[in-house]
Amino acid sequence: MTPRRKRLAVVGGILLGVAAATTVAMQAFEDNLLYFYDPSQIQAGMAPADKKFRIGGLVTPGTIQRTPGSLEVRFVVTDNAHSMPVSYSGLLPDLFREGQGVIAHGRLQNGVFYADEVLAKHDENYMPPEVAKSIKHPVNTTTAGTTGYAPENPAVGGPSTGAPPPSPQPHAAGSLAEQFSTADSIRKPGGPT
Amino acid sequence: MATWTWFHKLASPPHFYRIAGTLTPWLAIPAALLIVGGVYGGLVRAPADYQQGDAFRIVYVHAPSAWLSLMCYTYMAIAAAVGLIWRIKLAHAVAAATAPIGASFAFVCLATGSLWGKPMWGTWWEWDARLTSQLILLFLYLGYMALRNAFDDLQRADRASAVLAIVGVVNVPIIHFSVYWWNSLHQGRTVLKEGGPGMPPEMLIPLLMCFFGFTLMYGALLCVRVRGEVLIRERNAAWLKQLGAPRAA
Amino acid sequence: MADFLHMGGYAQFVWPSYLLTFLVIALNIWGAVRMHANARERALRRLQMLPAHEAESSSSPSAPLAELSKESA
Repeated sequence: MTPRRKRLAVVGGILLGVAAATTVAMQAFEDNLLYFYDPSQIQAGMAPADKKFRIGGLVTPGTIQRTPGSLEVRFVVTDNAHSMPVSYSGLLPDLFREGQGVIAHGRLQNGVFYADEVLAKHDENYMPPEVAKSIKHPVNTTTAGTTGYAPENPAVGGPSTGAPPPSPQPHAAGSLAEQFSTADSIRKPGGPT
Repeated sequence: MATWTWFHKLASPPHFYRIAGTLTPWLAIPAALLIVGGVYGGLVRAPADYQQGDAFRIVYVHAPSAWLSLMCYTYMAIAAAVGLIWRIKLAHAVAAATAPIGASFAFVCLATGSLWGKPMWGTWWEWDARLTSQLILLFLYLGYMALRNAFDDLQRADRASAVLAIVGVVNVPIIHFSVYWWNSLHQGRTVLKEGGPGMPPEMLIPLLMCFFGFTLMYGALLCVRVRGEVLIRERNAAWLKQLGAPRAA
Repeated sequence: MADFLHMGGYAQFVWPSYLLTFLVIALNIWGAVRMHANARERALRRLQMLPAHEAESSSSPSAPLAELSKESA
């Protein structure tokens, strides 16, 4: 019995040690794991000024401008608290459209984000948690009545002036609220964000 | 006490060998029916997605593969720990038999994800938390199998690889929660979402069929592979002769 | 049918995904069956090499071995 207990303790110890080391490492590299910044974070000076990074947000409806005869496109990315104009020249993913969640990689120059890559984040029911989190506040305080954004509201992306077609699923928007709450509850206890 | 004897009986190689052999068709046939039905439902019956069109149908092979790769790793780590702590050879056999199955579906998950990501996201690959941790899972599987191969002595291979399997299991919750812990390109989970699945039933049912089908398929594959592992481990045991006797099972 | 194969323009992504998945499933089945068959083959050869009196403990050495080989069919 004793050697078996000992082996059990050793295995448990290894597991605990690795889990602790991983947690510490993940906390330390949190900044690198931050895949993108939303416009509010960039406004707050959290994004690196000297190197390329990613911006995530929703394409503001009515801001897509294409230059005829070229691949150049300009649009505004918003988290509904702050906005950021983006300039890009190249092929866009099929999902790129007004109100869509996008992630652009590039550099910030004179208040314009020059992207070398634009990716779409598909949101059948989902939206980038950071964007959605930022969106939640202005909507809840100012326009909650008109856009009716609430966890029970079936319209995904309702706060972004309803650009994406309403989701046919009844539970659609629940995920948004859950995503923030999950992210919040996990991040708050001492985690650097 | 009864459970204990039952457990020991099951864990005895001859019993397991026979039970696994009997069990195989009972797992394989429902697995095949569920997968074929689920794929038919996903490709033919389910409506196209309102945003992604028909490209979303990749979910019916991508998500079950992802699920299987995670489930296999968890089982592998548990079996390895049981083998290490209680010195049960059969547990090591289960861990060894699970690795190639999990590895192949981790690969399928990454490859089909790539084929889905290109048209939808606009990229084959991105170093976001979910994709990176899933890639690490594949490497863990490959490392586990390579480590096993590095030993000539089966017992030492079992023990050394078991430690790697146990250490690597921390990656499983990281993969699962990566989409909630970090900003990621990958979306959150759909089926096990709080507040109900984020899919209408006509899309969800084929997906669930694929999930169950893949899980049963793992069971069938495991049975066959563990029988092989048992034979490798017990090649001189007297019970092997009894296999030849008119079959009781 | 053509519409179905076209997959709304995503045929080049959908079909390779399914093809790859079923290819890997087939390889898994083949690999598992072959692995078991090889292990069985080796076990049989080992049994044959056992000293005669051990192998004969029940009956003649060839009879159970023949039965063991049959079981794979």
